[in-house]
Amino acid sequence: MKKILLADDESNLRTLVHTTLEDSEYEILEATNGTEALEMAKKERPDLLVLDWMMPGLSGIEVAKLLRDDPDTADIPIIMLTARGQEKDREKVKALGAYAYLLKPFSPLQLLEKVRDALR
Amino acid sequence: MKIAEIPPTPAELDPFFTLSLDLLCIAGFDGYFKRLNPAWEKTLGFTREEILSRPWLDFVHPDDRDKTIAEAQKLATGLDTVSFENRYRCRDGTYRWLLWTVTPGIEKKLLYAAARDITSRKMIEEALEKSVSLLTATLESTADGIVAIDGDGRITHWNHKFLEIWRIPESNLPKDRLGLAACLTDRVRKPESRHGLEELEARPDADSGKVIELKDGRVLESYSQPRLIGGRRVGIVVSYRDITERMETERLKEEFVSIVSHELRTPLTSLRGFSELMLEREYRRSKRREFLSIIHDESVRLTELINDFLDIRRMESGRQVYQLEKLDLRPLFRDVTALHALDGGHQVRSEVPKSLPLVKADPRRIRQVLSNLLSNAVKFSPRGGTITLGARREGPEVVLWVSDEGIGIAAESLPKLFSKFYRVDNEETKSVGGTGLGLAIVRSIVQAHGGRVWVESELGKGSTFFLTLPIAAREARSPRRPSGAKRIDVLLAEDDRAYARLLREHLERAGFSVASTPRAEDALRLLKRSAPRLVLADIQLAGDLDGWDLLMALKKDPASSSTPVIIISATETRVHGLALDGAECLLKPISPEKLRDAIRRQVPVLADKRVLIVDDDPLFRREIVELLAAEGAHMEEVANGREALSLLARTLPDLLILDLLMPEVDGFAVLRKLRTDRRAVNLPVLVTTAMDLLPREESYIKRRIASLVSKKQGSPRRIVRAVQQIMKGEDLRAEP
Repeated sequence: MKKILLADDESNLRTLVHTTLEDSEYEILEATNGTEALEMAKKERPDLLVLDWMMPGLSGIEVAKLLRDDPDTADIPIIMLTARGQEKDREKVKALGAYAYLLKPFSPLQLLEKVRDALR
Repeated sequence: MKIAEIPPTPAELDPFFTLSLDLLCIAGFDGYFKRLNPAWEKTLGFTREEILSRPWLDFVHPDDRDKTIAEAQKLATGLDTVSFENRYRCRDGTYRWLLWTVTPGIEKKLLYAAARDITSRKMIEEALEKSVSLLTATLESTADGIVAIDGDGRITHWNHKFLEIWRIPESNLPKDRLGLAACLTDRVRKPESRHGLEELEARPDADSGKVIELKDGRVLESYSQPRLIGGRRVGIVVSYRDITERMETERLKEEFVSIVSHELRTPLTSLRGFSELMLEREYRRSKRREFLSIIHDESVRLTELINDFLDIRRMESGRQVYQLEKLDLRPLFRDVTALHALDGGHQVRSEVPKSLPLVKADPRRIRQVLSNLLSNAVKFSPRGGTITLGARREGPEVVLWVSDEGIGIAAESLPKLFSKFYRVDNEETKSVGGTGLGLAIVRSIVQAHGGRVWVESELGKGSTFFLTLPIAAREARSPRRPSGAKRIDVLLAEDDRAYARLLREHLERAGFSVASTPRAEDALRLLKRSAPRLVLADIQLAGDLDGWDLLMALKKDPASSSTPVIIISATETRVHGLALDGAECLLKPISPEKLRDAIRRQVPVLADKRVLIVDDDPLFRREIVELLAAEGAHMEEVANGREALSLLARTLPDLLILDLLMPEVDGFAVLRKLRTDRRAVNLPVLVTTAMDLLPREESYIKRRIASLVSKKQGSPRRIVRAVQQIMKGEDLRAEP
């Protein structure tokens, strides 16, 4: 059973992603902000992280950076969700070695595909 | 061998006296000329006799006489005159400037003088002076800093703006290009960037729009132009403009656009996401309802976002138009409170005195302000509590406040609270939603009214938002006494004399002046003479014309076309022809239910009715066509006003759904055409518009409303009330 950690401050978005990924093979954990996401990631060691970029407090990018710096969590694939679509934003995400980057509004089915690929 | 100069003999000198172009003369101490050479005649136009016959002072320009006399007195003492200038009058009345050299012969009491005509020189000097003064004024009046350098690298001209822009004290201004270039390089941020004075020769013919960044953070733009004389380059002029503000404005615009597109993507994510999930998968009914509910909420949120963005853009660019009125705040408070009271767990209290003065304000925008503040109060007191709305008079203003017992605001957040997109970062309010523009809009509106807005808050205890509005000046005239002119309030066209008398009594008691007649023709005459503020007409009238004719005539005449009309009908049948002018106006986006309700108001049963929809949005057209076809209506659709008009010219539908904003021929044009069509008097029209109506457009639509009151159900009191409401500018229909 693969563990997926989902972090987003908007409850509608959490519902959307959770519903999209709902599957007997996946256990989905939810965090509502960056700090919580960081804690849960270190504690639960999920197989995949789906992170929103813009969150109050620690942003998705900052969480990703901190996880990469920790050898225990450095290898967890990350899929970043964001409304920021400029070139320089894309570069930032790539530089962090994120597995994928989805621009909002994204297709949930495309997200599902990327999740499946990342967990293979 | 010494070569001696042989002095000329008097005879040899004589030709020179005659030939000389200069004016030579011998004059006496008595003020008269004694001998003149021909040049005098040629220069002044007088004959020598004329000049000899008058004192020479006669010919001198009045302004020069005093100094000429003084000079003559000097000569009388034996001193020579060198380079003395004065003006002599010519025969044609003009003056010429003369430059004098004079030597006196004391014993004989004579003056020996030579004068040169320097008029041309004087004119050139004057023209040059004018040029210079124009140049100086131009240099000092322009907003740009300008410096001019000649071919030798010397600085020939500069203006104070140049010194200001480059922050060079006047005393430190270098004298040449090299010195100045070094000075400018000092101030430029990147040493390799150019400031316009680097080389003169390599420069192209004219240069423009070069951007220069300074060390102190400002940004300049430079333009240069070579100085040419006869095609030869003799220097350069460079001008500099401070574009720091312009760059800042553009940056803010970019930022705004970027934030807006970001904000819009968020609700769109739910819309796209949940709709896609529901299309691709099967979900049970309760889940479907949950998702549809989210889709609905997010689309409402998206609409609010867009409206807020448009509002704040309009307000900040100064294009927002406010319709200021004498506003009674108390009913406004009641309305807004009622709207928000349904948010659970909150008690809304009012602290508004009965004697609150009227304020000068735009009711729609103040409603928006109160709504935003109340909405915030509810959002930021998630645990319920009391929300207080208050107002009191303070001098020339009314102070309003909205107070909550919620989580309060930290002191460091207070200064930025009213700026765009500022959202308080807080655990408890993380999913509060909103656009972050509510308070910015509040501030914009209040400031445009001449008021102030501020907040007092304590973290954990609650917040109070205050605003001030100016009190409306006192009304000068009273509606009871009509002004000296024969203008009346209400023109009543009613053929039933008893009913007319009854109505008239009620209206006069309510303070309106009334003129009445049983005939439409007389009504039209009275209309022209007394320009009533409102027309009250029965459809049945004595004579050949009826209420419809009266209505059409009224609308055709520009002088009366905006006079509100109330039609009184004795029959039960819904005379929905008024719908033409009482075109019900709906704002897009519109829910199918609202649309259906509006249609039912016009046409209760749609089966077998012919409906024409005119709209340039094919998706909207399709939606409506499907919706109404399902009820049995025969649908026809066109995409623009021109096609609509040609269709309508041939045959009228039973219902017209008309979009206002279409390219080329718009909905307004269609309405105007229909108004002059007798057949269309009974045509129900539903107008839709996606635009935020400008007040001018709203009132265009509102004022053309002829409202319908049925005699059977309406008592005279209702009619009078309708008149009162129209006079006050209110709309009789409930807001959709």
